[in-house]
Amino acid sequence: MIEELRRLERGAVDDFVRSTIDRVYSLLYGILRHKQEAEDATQEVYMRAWKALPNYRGDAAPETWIYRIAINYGRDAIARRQKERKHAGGEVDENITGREGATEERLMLLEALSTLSEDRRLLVLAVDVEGFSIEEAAEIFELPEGTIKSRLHRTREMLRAALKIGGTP
Amino acid sequence: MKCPQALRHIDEYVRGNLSAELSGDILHHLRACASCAEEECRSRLLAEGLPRLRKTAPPGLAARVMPPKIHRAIWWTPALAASLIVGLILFGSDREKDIPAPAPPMQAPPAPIPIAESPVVDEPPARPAPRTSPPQLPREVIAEPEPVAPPPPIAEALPAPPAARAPVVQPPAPAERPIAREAAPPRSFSTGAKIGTDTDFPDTE
Repeated sequence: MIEELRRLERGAVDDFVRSTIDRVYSLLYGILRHKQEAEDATQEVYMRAWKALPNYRGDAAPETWIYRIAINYGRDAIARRQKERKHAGGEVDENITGREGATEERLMLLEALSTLSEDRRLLVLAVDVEGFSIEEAAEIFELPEGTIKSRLHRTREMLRAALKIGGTP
Repeated sequence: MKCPQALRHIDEYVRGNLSAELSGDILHHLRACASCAEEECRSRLLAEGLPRLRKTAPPGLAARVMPPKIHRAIWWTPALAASLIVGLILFGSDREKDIPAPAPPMQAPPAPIPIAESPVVDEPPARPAPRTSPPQLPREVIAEPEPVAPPPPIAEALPAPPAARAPVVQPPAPAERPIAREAAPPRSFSTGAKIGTDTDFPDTE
């Protein structure tokens, strides 16, 4: 599969994209909370992947590799956005929160997620939203499994606390 | 079981990742502790609600993330194939003309007649210069209908041009050359070559 992918053989590329695009898009949507930005970001992530493919050593599964690219892109995008907000006088663009038409439960969860630091939010998005296992998350974030577990445990505690402050349930 | 211990395992309890024994202990505690029961509700909201935030890629996005090389291949392949086929046909037909051409000239009867009659001779002979052999020239000349030009200096014009190309393709037959040259005057050779190249083999040269 890896060799076929490296050679950009149509079948391998199709399979790879089909099996990863939902999670890549969803991860980026979770980070960016904006449909169009998430679509653009997804395209950019795959473009980066195709470009980097010749240097891909195959240490991690191709799926893990592209999720890693997506996470790193998400980090960069958040940093860029924060920079833009700083330049704009600290105003928060509410259109970017992706809360339009959200249910009450969804709103509570998004509110709680927004209280987390960037790294913790990415971890929750990967494990609790996208359903990556601890092992997969350890590969994607390039951290020991023990670190992922303890960080996740602490992050869930923080989310519960955030829901409590928000008056839920 | 005390509250700290119950809360330590509450997330895994909600996700069903604990042993039956530990789960039973926690359940027993939750029934007796309202505060921990609230934590369990919040933990359950996270465990069940967060996966519902998951999105699926919009339709059409997969096609937009394909690598450019593959995209290119999609439209490129047929275009390349088509141009190759056309090129082969054109080139092949030229070759065929070239190859068979030498044979008929041996007979040399048809060529002289049309050439002499049609003054157009100027264009045709020069045109196939690089690829065609001397015999081919007469054919096309014949085929092309154009105004008549006087073909008097036959003898002199003939020898020069064919000699240069004749050796490459085929040794010009004595009978054949005289005929072709007859039709084409000396001046026509030089100009004809250019004309022929532009019109008949634009792609190759």
